[in-house]
Amino acid sequence: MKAPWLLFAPVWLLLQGCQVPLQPYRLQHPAIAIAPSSQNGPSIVPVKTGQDCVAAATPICLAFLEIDDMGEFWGKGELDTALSVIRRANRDPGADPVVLTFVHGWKNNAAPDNSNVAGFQVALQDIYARLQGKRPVIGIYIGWRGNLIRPTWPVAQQFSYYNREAAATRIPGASLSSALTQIAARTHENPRALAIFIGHSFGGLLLERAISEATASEIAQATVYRQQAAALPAGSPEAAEKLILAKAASDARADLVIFINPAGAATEAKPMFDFLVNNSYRYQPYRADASATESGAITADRPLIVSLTSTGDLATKVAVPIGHALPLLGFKAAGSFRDLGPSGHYELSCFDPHEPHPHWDLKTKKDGAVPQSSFYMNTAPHMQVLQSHLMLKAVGATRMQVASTGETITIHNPQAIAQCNRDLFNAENLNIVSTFRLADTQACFAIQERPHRCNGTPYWMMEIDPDVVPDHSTIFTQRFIQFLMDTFFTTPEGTPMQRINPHLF
Amino acid sequence: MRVLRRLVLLALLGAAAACAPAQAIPISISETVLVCPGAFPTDLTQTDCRYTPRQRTLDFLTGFVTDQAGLGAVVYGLGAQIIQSPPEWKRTWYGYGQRVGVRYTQAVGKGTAQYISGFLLNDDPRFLAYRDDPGVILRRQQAVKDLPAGSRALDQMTHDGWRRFGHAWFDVVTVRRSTGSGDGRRIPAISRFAGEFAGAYAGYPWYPARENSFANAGQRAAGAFGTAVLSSFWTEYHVEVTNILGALFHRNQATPAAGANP
Repeated sequence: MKAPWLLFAPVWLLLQGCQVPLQPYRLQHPAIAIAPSSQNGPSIVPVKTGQDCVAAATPICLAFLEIDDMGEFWGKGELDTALSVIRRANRDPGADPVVLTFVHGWKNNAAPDNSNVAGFQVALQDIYARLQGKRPVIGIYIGWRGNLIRPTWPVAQQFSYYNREAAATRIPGASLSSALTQIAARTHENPRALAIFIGHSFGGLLLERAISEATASEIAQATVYRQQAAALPAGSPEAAEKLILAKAASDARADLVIFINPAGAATEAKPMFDFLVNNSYRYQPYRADASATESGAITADRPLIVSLTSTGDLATKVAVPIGHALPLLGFKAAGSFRDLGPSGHYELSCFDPHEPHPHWDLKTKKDGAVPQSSFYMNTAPHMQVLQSHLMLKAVGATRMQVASTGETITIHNPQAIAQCNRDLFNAENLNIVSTFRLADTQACFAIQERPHRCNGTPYWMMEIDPDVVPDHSTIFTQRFIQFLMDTFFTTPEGTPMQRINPHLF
Repeated sequence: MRVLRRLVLLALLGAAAACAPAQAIPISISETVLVCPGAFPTDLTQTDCRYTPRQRTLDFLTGFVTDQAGLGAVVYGLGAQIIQSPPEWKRTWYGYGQRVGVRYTQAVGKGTAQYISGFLLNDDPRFLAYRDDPGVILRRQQAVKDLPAGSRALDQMTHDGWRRFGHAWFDVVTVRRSTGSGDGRRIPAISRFAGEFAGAYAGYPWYPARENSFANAGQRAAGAFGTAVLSSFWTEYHVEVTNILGALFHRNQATPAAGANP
């Protein structure tokens, strides 16, 4: 009878040896100082970590929040520390901090030797340098057990896909959602401070699940309070109270949420997309107030959520559909998906405020509609029907190439590419939102509103060129940060983004 | 006073420039570009390009003791089992064991020879795509700077398919000396060739006597060399391959253009 147990013991030992233990890494030092990069030497110097972020003069801080496999925080102290770091930065007179919260993906965690931790640290240094050292930069790294199998077992690691996808789906809950709300609200104690959430890979899935409900609820609350205030006599205490409540709701969400190479199915994004479409929401944070449209204020539509994916990302383009193929059969067998046509009534509602008739529906395959199962089999930014923008790259003196389709567009004025000038592009009716140059090659890129798009909401989705992000994991690069800063942290007129009027209209 | 006037003028010009709508984005040319072999340009985590002894040892162990090494032997062994190579080994479990064993031994032999010779030569065997090569990035910078008058240079760079193909081959047969800046001198890929031949000869004790000729060992080395060629071509063409594979999974997706706003 002992023989089976004797056989089982080595297998159990082997499995234990493969696994990354469930453990926190940062309880003793939940916030560390990051040295700014050297001004004279190379742009980035090796980071000296380990020093606690306690001095008010520390311009770059990195705090950690660690969450276990069941969605519970390892210790309340980490969140308290992160919130106190933000408050301290807000108290610094004249400083408007930028608070970046990052959720890592599969095969990563918060361990000191983790490549995402190192990458996020140098990214914070780079962002601080790009802001010319004028704004404190606070990073909050949300660590979870993305890495189940040790890297010394690379093949076995691949088979943890379903397990870690389930964890990323399970973890979001009251603990994480409330922490993110507190981070945003604490950041906005300073009205000019910016709260940015970033999720990568399964971290994108995790973040989307954590914020979607709360964000939709906050937007709805703020809208209702503003409508109530507008219906009351102007300047009355009741109206003022409603506006305070609306502001509190707006302050409780991030100014921008970025998903990069998100590995969640598009079904995760669809409810938020529908919510924004059905309520015709637009986001114009640079406009001083609702009546300022005629006074020449900037009324450009900006994103509240951005979902980006590289065309060179094999993981989300190929591995996700393969991974979802088996569960798809189960869903199909259970009849869980709605189909196009009269049987399923599955239509896609579209909204583009720049069209003469901003609302319409896609009903048939010919229109571009796809069945519900397609949303499960693809990630949102890889779906053409959901893409709001296109990335164009200069591939010649008069030619721009579309990243997602490979098509080329002829530009008639060569100065447009030579100067990388948005206005010159737009003189050719291209609807370019912004332009940027890569830091090293100086190649010109442009972000264009997708022609005939269904998605004109503040939930931007697009595929990006592999010259900017080459694959699934390489995201801590100057090229990618340059793109983010020039596209999302700068006004269309080229001035740094300020938080003027963060509510949706 | 003149200095003051100039300062005021400069301040006014600066303010006007800041308020101007959507200006041209100036070009900033840098003389040096750092790209580490195996990495992506401007990767912030790559500050030291050296192929360190630790990294070399880790890569060696990956092909030696991890499940990846075992899986390689099992899969290639299965291929050999299907075509019954060598024919002296029957299509039995014992024959399959022989095929897996010889492949694992070859992998260990290859890795050991590559590790030792690479260590002695201080080379860096990691591949780099043509478009990420520092020389190509500097050429691209210059081509952009010359726009719009010198438009031919940038146009030509989009038709450099043969250069890419050649670069992929060149990366297979040469390696760089390992340096902090990643621009080490190119030398023949001695460690790679040594590894392939050592792997081929490591099978001697396993293979039937008929297989142990120089010609057969050379054939095995050439076959193993194919994996290095594939790696280099994957580095060069992974975006195109990903697009082709992606198209297979994303077919039947109509563009919304058809159902555009009426």
